[in-house]
Amino acid sequence: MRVQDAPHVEPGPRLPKPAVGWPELAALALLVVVLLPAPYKASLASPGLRNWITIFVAISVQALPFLVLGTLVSGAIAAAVPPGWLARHLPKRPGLAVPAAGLAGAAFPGCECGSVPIAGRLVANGAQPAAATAFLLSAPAINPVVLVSTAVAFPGQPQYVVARFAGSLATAVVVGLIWSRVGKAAWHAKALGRISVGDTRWRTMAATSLHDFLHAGGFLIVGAITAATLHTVVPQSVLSTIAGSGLLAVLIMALLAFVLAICSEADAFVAASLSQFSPTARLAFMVVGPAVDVKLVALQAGTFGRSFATRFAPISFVVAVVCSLVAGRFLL
Amino acid sequence: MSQRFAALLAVVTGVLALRMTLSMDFLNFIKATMFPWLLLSGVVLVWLGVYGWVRQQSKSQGEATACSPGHSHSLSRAAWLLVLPVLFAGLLEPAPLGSFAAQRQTVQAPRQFSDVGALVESLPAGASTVSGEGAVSNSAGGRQPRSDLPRGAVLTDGEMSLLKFMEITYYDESEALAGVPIKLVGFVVPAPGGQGGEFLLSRFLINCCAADATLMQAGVLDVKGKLPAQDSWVAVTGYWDPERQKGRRTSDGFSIPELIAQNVEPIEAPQEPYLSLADY
Repeated sequence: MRVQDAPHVEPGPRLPKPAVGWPELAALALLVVVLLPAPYKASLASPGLRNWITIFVAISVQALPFLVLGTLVSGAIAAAVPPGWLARHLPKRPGLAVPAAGLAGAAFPGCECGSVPIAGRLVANGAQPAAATAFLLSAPAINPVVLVSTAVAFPGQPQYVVARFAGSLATAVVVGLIWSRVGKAAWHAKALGRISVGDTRWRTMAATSLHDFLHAGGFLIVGAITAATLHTVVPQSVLSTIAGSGLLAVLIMALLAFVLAICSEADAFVAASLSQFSPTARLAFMVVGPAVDVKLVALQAGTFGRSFATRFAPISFVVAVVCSLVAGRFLL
Repeated sequence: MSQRFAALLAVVTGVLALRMTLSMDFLNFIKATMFPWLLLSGVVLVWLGVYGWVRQQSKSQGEATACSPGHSHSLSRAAWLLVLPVLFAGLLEPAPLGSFAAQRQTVQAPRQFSDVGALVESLPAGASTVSGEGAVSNSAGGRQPRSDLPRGAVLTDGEMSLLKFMEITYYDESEALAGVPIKLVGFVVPAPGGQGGEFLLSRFLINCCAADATLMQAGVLDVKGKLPAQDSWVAVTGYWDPERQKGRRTSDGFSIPELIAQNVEPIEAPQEPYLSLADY
């Protein structure tokens, strides 16, 4: 992985020597920082800062596999699906396309970090934005990995798995249908400008994956900074002492899910451990979290643009809370 | 941002993932089963980045970049932030969550994952209960020793996971664990109120990364001599006395189980500081 070794695989016209400027020197300096033993120990920092660093690095690094998977799928879509193909072959009517896209989310085994670049790529390739948003909301919430971990977190209570599936799918479909009515093309302008064309399929895939990783990765860091700060500043004990049932508890748990930005594969365990809350409140934690949290808002703002995120996040939040209330009432 | 630097930043991020995985440093904040996925993502990032850099080099004769010009501008600002985890993880070695995070969580009643009845039956026979000063008799002393069940289900070299200790003391109504010598491992959180001879033995359970950590805790009583330092790791040998549960009650009426200490031994922090569901 020495960058200097790379040029011998260069496919294009031979250059006598690769250009070496500040990018290469800066990257080399960063490589040294990574490979040498850390000169300072975070345990020597103040306890709060130490805590912040742990959570920040944990979220950033833990998300890498999911983000890479998402950007590889995104790159594959860009390479294998011709522009316009999706628009021609997907159902035209939102009433059909949105639920289909919501159900399709069940097939993507990843967390929310991976589904954002895929949804962005779908929009860029001509899919209906409403259908793409339904996929965006359902993929991290109802895929098999998440459902299995929910079943493990609530042993002997399969109704939580059913309620989570129903609540999250309903959220995805309802938000998608709302978006098909109110969504404006201008709000996804950023995503639409993302078509990159390479000369071969492999090159297109590699270039798109790299591009999407760098882009989404940067915004993931914004989310990780926010979540780490909230984890450190807001003590979980304060929120969990306002226990109870009723609408207030549901709203508190929904807000907690927004603030903590826990990966959808792990949020069921946290929900299960907050046992002083009502079942519906805990369901709201699991339905709201994968749909909208501080990390996701940052990723969505980066992928689709700020005007998308400022409208999409509140709609998702409200719909997710309502769907949790309904699913909790009938299924829990 | 220069497209060349952007590509190299992906390489650096990939190398960071590889280094953290191969050195096992990632266990300080991520669960162990992420190992292959972190490794794979590191390899993919290095490959994507090197490939992108080589293409930028071959394009540097005036050809347009893959991105539309208007877009590459917005890429520049966001992607710079990827430098931050590299700097934080490279310059400051992230420590596992400690007493700062523990003091900001309320311990919840454990959930039941095991057949507690079968677990307590696999305990060492009643003969091994603590006898002597301060000890209690095993309330289930009439139990027949069971040699057919693996003892490892509860105790490994006399050590019990903090999770299982909480689960059994909470759910086993026969209180069969009372008086059985147990070793628990965790880090030290000072007891609230600062009573002498007491501290809270603590460990976090994670299911993905440190952001979803849930606190597991047991009170340690009757510590003789100097209390171990905050955040240091200790192995406590002792026994459980349900009569002495003084009740550090949390909001839902659960009280943290307590271990009467016989010996508190400082140990090295374990390579895997977090508990996972496999410890149930």
